[in-house]
Amino acid sequence: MTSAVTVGSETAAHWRSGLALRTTQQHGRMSAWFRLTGHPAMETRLSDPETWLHEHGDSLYRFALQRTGDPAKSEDLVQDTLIAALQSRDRFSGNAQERTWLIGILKHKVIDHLRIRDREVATDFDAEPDLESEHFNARGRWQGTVPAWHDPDSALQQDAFFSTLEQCIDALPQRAGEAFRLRELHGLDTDEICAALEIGTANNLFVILSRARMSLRDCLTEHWFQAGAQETESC
Amino acid sequence: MLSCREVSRLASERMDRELSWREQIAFYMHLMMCRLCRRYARQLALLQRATGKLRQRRDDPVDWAALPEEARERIARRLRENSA
Ligand SMILES: [Zn+2]
Repeated sequence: MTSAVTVGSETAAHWRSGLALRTTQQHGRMSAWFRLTGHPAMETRLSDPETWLHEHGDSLYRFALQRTGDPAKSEDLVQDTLIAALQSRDRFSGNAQERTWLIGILKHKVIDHLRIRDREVATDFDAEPDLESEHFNARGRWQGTVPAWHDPDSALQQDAFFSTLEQCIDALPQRAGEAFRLRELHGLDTDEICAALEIGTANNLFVILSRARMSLRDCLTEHWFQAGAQETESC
Repeated sequence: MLSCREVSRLASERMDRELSWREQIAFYMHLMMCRLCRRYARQLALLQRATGKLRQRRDDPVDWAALPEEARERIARRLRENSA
């Protein structure tokens, strides 16, 4: 663990110094670029595209990587974003931060990518089992009991628990799994997920996420907590 | 009074949106009286904590990721082509 952190800091220091160097080299070219394009209104607001790459390239790349988990695709998304930014730079509002503006463009590209990826493996949401009907009786009360989880805090200290959790997430029905991952592992907000997965209303998404959490709870009960699932435990 | 089924839904939804005052009161009133829903809500909260830790474990390498030099040069070239 310690060595991983050390390597990380060295890498970070390395690219930071590289960054400083590149930015200095860039300076001459930058003013030349402005003279060529002759964009007086923009001059004070936006720097030139290669400076975007140098100053925000890593942030954009991380943003994409965190959401797609795909390094090669993330490079493409950064490139598409910068080219789109270049083509639409007249529409940049002076009030926005340059990086916020670029991230905003990237966000749309990421959502489009996830949408296409999802369509390639789309399944029928209606065909997924209705877990809630299994758990509740006609009057909406729990059918049987809610099994207790034995010693959940120690579970969070064990690598094996996280492997079980990952397997449970992988075992979710396709759409539920996708929605849950985007929400909890990639930190997208609900609007973004609805757009990416083409879910009509926020309420549909809430239903999907509620079912996903319920089946994850069932899966963890069965594959991790079962041994201690006595009524006496408190959680 | 909400049913357990409705409460199980709110236990999840409060992680995705802000519950109204009315919903919060109904939710906590039910929890006060229903041991199984209390347990379920606590388990969902633990699930969220566990997923948060899983996310941290996965994001650690991402936090240090940098756009590879090759890609950087390729993108710079494309930008120059496009601005020419
Ligand atoms: Zn209840």
